[in-house]
Amino acid sequence: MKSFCIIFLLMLANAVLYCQSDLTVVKLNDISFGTDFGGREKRLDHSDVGAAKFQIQSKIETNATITIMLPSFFISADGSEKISASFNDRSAAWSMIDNVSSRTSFDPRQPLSLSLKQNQIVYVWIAGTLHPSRSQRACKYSGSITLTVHTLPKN
Amino acid sequence: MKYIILTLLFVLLFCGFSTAQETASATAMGTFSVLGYATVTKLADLNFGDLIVGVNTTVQPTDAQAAEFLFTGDVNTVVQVTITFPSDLICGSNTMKFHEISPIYNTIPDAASATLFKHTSGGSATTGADGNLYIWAGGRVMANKNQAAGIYTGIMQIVVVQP
Repeated sequence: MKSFCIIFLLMLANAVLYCQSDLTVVKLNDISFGTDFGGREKRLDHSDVGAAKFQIQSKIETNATITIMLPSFFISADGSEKISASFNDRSAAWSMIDNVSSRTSFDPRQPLSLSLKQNQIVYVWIAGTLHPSRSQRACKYSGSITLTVHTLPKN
Repeated sequence: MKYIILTLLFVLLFCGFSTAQETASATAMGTFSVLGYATVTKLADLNFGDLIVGVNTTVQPTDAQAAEFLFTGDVNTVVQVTITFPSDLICGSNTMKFHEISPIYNTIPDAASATLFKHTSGGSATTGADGNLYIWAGGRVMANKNQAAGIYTGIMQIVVVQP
């Protein structure tokens, strides 16, 4: 019975460890294209302060695949108007350090594979371009960017 | 013994899971505000014509000599109109007092059916289905008996704020 209790406690501890996630993804900044007139392309670079910013951290050494769900349009609050959004092979960047010079650009439309060390932090910035038409209705438009990280432990 | 074996199996099972794959995600919201295009065009100056000394001369906003402006912006939108009138008309070093009259507005170019602004400085008005808003402004002046002859002018400024 005593042995059973010890093993049960070990099992419980392991279960608690299992419940604690090794991977965290946090949004640090929303993406803001600011304000402008219609008919003028609004381009945002990943180094601009308005770019979306995420932080990824893994407690264990792992191989990570980053996929990003990008909006095709920014939509008005009532849903009646939309502005097309586009992204290219330099719209996003990642870095192990939170500064501009160390960034590596990548295409947010394609999955990105990274090798993460234990407790390694990775920053990801995402920007893009909006194409409001000349007759675009004056109002606020919004869209969302979802960054998903999938990890597989290193062998 | 049977319990111990079963428990060990569970432990091994959990150990296996603890090194399993993981997925996490976060979402950033994006925003962009589009400003509406708007223009104000002067269509006509306010013209008092020739004045008779000692007599008040008034140009009503509905008169043909009234100043006329056209604002073009968003359709069916409430805008704030502010008109700044000159306090005096000037001819060199000579001045002539200018008196304000409440301006009028309409969504079509018809002063006769226009609506009076609440204040002499303007107020709120709504653009038409084509985004147009016509504004007319008049005024009143009087040349004193010893008023120097000449052409007296002043500047009238209109500001339209579209939200």
